[in-house]
Amino acid sequence: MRGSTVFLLVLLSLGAALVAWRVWPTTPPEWVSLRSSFDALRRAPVPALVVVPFEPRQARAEVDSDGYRYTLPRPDGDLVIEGRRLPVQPDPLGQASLTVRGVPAQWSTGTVTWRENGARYTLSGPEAASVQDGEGATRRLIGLDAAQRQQFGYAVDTPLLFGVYLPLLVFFLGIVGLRMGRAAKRSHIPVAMLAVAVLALAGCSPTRAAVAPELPAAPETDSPDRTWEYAIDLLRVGQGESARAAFERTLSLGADRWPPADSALFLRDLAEVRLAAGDTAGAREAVQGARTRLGRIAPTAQFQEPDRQLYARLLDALEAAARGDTATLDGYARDGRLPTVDPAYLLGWVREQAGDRSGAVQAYRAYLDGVPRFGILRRTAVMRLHAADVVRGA
Amino acid sequence: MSDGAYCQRWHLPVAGGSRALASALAVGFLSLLVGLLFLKISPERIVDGTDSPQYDLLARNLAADRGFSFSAGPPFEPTTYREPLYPTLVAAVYRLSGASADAVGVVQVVLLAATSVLVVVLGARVVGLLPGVLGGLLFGATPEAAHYAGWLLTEVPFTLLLMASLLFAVEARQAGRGLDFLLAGVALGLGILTRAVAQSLVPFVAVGSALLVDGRRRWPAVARNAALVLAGTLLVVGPWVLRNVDTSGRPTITARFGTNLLRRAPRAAEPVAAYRDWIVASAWIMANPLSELLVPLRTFQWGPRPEDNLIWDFHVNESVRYVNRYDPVCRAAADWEGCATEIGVAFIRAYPVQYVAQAAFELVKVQFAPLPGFQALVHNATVWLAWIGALTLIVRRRLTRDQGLLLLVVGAYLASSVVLDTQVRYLVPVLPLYGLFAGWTVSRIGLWAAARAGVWPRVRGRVVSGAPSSKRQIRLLPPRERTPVAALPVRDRS
Repeated sequence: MRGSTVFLLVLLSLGAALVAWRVWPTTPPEWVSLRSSFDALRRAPVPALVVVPFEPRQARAEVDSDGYRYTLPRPDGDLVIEGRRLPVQPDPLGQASLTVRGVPAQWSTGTVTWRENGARYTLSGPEAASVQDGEGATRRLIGLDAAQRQQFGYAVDTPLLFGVYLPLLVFFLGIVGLRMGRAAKRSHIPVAMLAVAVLALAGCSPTRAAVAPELPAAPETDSPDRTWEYAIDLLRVGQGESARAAFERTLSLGADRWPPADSALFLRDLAEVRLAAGDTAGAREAVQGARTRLGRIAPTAQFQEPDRQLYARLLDALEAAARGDTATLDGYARDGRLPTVDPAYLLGWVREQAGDRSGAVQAYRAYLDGVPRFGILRRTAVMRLHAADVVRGA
Repeated sequence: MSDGAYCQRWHLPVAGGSRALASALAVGFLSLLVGLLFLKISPERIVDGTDSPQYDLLARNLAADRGFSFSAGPPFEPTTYREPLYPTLVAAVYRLSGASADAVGVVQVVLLAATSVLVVVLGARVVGLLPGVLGGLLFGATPEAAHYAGWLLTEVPFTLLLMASLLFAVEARQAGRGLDFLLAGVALGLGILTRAVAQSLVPFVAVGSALLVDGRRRWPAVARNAALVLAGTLLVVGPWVLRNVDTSGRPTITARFGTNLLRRAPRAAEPVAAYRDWIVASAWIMANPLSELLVPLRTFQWGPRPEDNLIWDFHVNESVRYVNRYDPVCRAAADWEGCATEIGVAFIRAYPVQYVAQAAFELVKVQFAPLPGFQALVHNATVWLAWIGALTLIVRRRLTRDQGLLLLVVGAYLASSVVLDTQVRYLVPVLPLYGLFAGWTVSRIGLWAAARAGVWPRVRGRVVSGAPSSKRQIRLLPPRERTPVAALPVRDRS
């Protein structure tokens, strides 16, 4: 390799490094204190639990040999979370008045106390003014790693993208520009690089399971949109009961006043979860609301009459299921004109509730033949599992 | 005889020659001017209904050190939905410019000009300088590419990386140098991190360039060269794959497979009656804008809004309706991507014949511009001329190895687009290759007309052109097709 080539390569490398240094991302100033607090909590002698704010706040963290104290200032008073090492002979905890993160906890005048991971935790502040408030506040508690990831993203991304890929792109474009592809002829280095790359890829197991998701954190604000998303997230992680509560909360926050397309879908969701919980009257009420709103959706190129007919059929089937009307459901299930098999599931469900197990199995089989192609209801994932369980047990 | 010697013999400059370089730079400069003009005319950079708002959000999160995340607010969960390189480039420009989307537009126009230069250089090596220049102009100096350079979309950077990869592949094929094979792989790897569809090109570029190498073919060398392309690609994409394994448990570049499948696969279950409209729409689009003169677009209008149209139903509306239908299901599933993939694959399994048959419609969608206008005229004429040129070369058995390599890449690209989901903008990255073959057709017609007018020499009934040497032509070329050197009207045989 000639000296000039080496010089140009070195120059390109320096240029690429300079670009990366110049554009390296930084945390916005309003979030710096929270980031510093999280960094400080890494040194805590007990696993740190925190609440992540949605809005920027001047968070504080104090760590000592016994534990940590995390303070989140709010206009109506500070939210404080403390974690302390348990002594060898801990005092017995009083009568449990609520459950936090799956363990019994005690509430007393603005403070929730519980024990986990060999530590004693307290959460105090206006959020814990009552038992119910305290329970709500503790649902937003998460571990430090998850909090860091929720608030500041995946830690590897910045060094990988700005420390590796961006310089590589700059360097490569420089190579293209300089047309320096004539340097090496019979180098064995590329072959060695192939071996390294193959070994690196071989090291990653495709079967490795994803990190188990923590329960989604409840929204901090009373926003119907966020509460609906939270409800769907709870459904996603299999928390049907909590999801129903969140759907009801969304309704109380005014979701039925949304534009027709959104409120029709929301009320259909609500009808589904109410029906699954056995609240047939509530399900019928939600279906009626959804039907009214569905009729108000203006047709567009991407919402045409066949779409309206399809979604109306789903509502009709939910209402028939709420009435326990198997004849109507059977008719819907046999009607092949609309691309949905959800009526077959609902037929199976109604029959199962009525104790007609063989009829339920027959309907569930028809349902399983058609999903996932023609399963459109929100709870399709749960419905499939249930139908498969019943059929398997038959 | 090398291409260079061949072309010098014919007074047709090749890449590396001063005339080729000057031509390439001139085309690049023209592309720069057209691109800047479009930036001035069209102030929109982030356009609703396109992917650009997503790229903007990803870049803003990256610039604010929140990682590669789609969330507008906490939690900033890492995403695998998009490829990372383009948002990183945008984030870098944002960091330098104070989040100015216009600055990104300017950078993309510069990249567009650089791409045009590469297209001319590649064209001069593969189809001759004149077709190369025409190809560069058909890509870089027309409204379509300039249009995309002004929006926050991956088209221009991806095209640049793809052309760079092909240039290195052609150089590697001609000279058999290991470093060129490796660089072709690196460029492909960077391309994959910009648009994952480039994954499908890796085996074709690797095996194609290694197999078609000039000189005597030695299998160990073929294997080594193909492995070098693969190594270059794996070295680049490997870290991102590992990152995705850690965040999502899947060794993938992107998790968009399910979304794409969901847009297309449910169509396979549509009844036979629906095919009539699709055939009409396909025929109309293929003949666009000529069809506009015969059967105006408004004939297909069924509602008051512009998108209430049969052509738009075929192209966009149906796909959106399918996604709207299944999105609620997958939002509540444990894994959106897995849910969408499962639904799409279930349709393919249930209706395999329909799915394959509908690939014909996808071929139309990916290649032809659907709406009439000057842009469609240039685009669709380029596509038709390119296929005429390519088929002429194949039928007359004059396809060279380099040209074969480019056609292989186009074929692989089209096939992978057609298998999943297609939009006409997906053609943009290979449009320069269409431009080169279209340029070849236009130059042949031009030279033929010039020869008829007596201003260009004819040799034994054939027009002299910048076709590369017979030595590099694929073996299909029979010896009788080779023109004796002595018979050529050469001004300078040195």
